[in-house]
Order: sequence, then structure tokens, then C-alpha cells
Amino acid sequence: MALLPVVGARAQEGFDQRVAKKTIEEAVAEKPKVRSGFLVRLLVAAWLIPGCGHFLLGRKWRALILFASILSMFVLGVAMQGEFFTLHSASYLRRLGFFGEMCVGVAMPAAFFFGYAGGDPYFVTSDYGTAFLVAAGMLNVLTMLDAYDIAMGRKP
Amino acid sequence: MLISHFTAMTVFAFLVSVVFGVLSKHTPREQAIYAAKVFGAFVGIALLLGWVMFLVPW
Repeated sequence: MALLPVVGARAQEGFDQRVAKKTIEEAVAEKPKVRSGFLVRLLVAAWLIPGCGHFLLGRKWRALILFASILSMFVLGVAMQGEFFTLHSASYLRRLGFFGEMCVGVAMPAAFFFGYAGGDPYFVTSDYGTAFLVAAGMLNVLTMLDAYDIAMGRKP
Repeated sequence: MLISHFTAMTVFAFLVSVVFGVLSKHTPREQAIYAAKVFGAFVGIALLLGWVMFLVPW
């Protein structure tokens, strides 16, 4: 008779665990699966225009702030005569710099289109400008990853 | 655009802090507080390192 409370407590604990597991499984099953096509489009949009991924997910204020900040950083980099790296350079770091700058999206080809030839490396603030350009690209990568996490339901 | 190194550093820190704040936190208040902390850390540590480099003899 003295064992009944112990056996009862263990049975109750096992029952609670089964209920909790079922609740978690139901919650995971209820979370809608995101189609991979939508994710690809979202990431491409987020890459091409900073903040566009968040805009497509309905986070309009967040999208606006990210767009303004990243684009401001890029424009300031251009204003300070920052250098545009190319893929054809001998240094691996410069080729990495090209990919870093390309992460801003359509802004870099647009700057080329409007006549920005890649800055003057001998200008006084050229180094700062280059840092601004690459940092803008890196911030856009963080923005893309954040949009991905929101789309996957990992973040509110 | 001719600006000093300190101005460039401050503007850079401000823009990066805004993005970090927006991406890391969820409510506007939390975002603003976190962005302010990050900005303070950027500028403060840069000033500290500047003084360390000034005082170190070599």
C-alpha cells in the first residue's frame, strides 16, 4: 500500500511527459511549412534591395530603417571616393572585397551605370569610403539572414 | 567628401548600431536601447584604443 503513491507519481510523470511531447509535436506540425521557391525569391529580393525581404514579410518599418541605413552607408562610401573592387585583381582579399561590395545588391551596378568608376584611391577619404562600401554589403547579408529567419518562423 | 577620421568613425558606428539594433531586438524600445549601447561601445572603445596607442611609447 505504501508503494501505491510512488507508482502513482511515476505513472503521472510519464503521462505528463507524453502529453507535453504530444503538445510539442502538434505545435511543430501546425507551423506552416515555407515553400523553398518563396524563400529563394525572398532572399534574392532581400539581396537586390536592402530591406525588401522584410517588406515582403510585412515588417514595413523595419524594412524602411534597414533600407535607409544600408543605402546611406553605401552612398556615403561613394561620396568618400571608396574603391570598387574587381574580380580580376591578383589579391584574394580584393576579390573578397568585390563579393562584399556586391552583397549590397543593385546599388553597385547602379553606381557603375551612373558613371561612378570606382573612386580615386589617392583621395584622402578613399579608405574610409571603401570600408563603408564593404560594410554596407555585410550589413545587407545580416539583413538577408534575418529575413530568412523570420520567414522560417524562428523569429517574431 | 572631406571628413575627419573621427567623423567617419562616428557615422559608421551610428549606421551599424541602427542596423544591429533593428535586427537583434523586437520592440522599438529594446531596439533603441541596444543600438545606443552598441554605438557607445563602438565610439568608447575606439577612443580608449586611441589613448592607449598615444600613451604607449613604441
